[in-house]
Amino acid sequence: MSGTPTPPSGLTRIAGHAAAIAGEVDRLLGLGSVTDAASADKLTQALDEMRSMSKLLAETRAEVIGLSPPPIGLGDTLDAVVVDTEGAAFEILRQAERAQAAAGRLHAGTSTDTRADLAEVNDAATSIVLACAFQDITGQRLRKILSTMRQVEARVTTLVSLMGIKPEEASSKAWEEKNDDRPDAHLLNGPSSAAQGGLGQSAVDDLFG
Amino acid sequence: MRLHAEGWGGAPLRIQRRSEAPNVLAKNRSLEERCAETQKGDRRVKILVVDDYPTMRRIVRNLLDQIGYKDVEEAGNGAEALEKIKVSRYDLVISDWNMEPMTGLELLKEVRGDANLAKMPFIMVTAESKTENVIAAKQAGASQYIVKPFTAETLKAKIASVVG
Repeated sequence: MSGTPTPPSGLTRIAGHAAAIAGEVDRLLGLGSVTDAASADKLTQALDEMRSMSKLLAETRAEVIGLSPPPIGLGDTLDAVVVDTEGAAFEILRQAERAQAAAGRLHAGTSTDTRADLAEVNDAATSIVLACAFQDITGQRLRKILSTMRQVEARVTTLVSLMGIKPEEASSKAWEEKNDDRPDAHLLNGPSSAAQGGLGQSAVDDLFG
Repeated sequence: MRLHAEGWGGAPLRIQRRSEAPNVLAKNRSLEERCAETQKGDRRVKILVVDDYPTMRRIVRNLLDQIGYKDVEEAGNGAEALEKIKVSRYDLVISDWNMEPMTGLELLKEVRGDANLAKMPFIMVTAESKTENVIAAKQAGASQYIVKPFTAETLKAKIASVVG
């Protein structure tokens, strides 16, 4: 794929139609008064084409307006999810380490206050349970993002259809090349489910030999 | 010694000292095993954990501590790790793959390209789990490959296989 993006063929077609219509209108206007039936038909046809063009452009504009950044602030909401999950993970780790330390003392018989150490383990477990509440908050945030993303996806699909862009023209390769210049970027797919070709540990071990 | 602890689901819990009777906690076989391993694992293996997520580094460090590896240092990406590796000697590197500016695979290639580091054990721990990833890591010289999320047993087994 070349570095210079090619204009979508839908736009090219629209520009071509517009040029053809403009040429036809100029030609008809050059005829002076339209008196014969054939020229009148052509003029009517040209006007119909222009009305269709105008409607198409209005629809396209409406879809582009619909693609404006949604009011909920997707980036901020996702940032909040990252902060929440990280905070919860740290809290869970902190409490688990508290419990491990107390359990270690009990196990080694070095506890100076067995009752207090048992209470420490119990208290840490309760804190871990409470820290898991982050899932409710992040779940709500993610559902909101998902809903907005679905709306955006529907609008993009409509826009692509309006522009007459064919599936083979809508390559995502340009995105990948533009967004990541690390030498092994083509291998960075992120987590993959089994359906997406992700392997489990035993399959990895088999490959690794 | 006997005592009762309250607040554990209502029923008092009877605890006996180990010298008198089997400790309740001692029945937890995995904990018992882990502690034995901790004593056994009192070996001077210096490990560098490389991951861009502090949470992941802490999880790995915790697991390493549980299985007896206390001498652990951290780096937040491949470039930071490479700096550390060139200054200090490590017996094992446990690295994530997807990091910026230098990925784990780039770090691995740098390490394998250095005659002084070429034989250093290197375990890739990553969410990248496609066949092409595993093959690329193997070709680059990874000693082992662990897919996230992983268990303590997997980590322990892979470390044992590369540092003995």
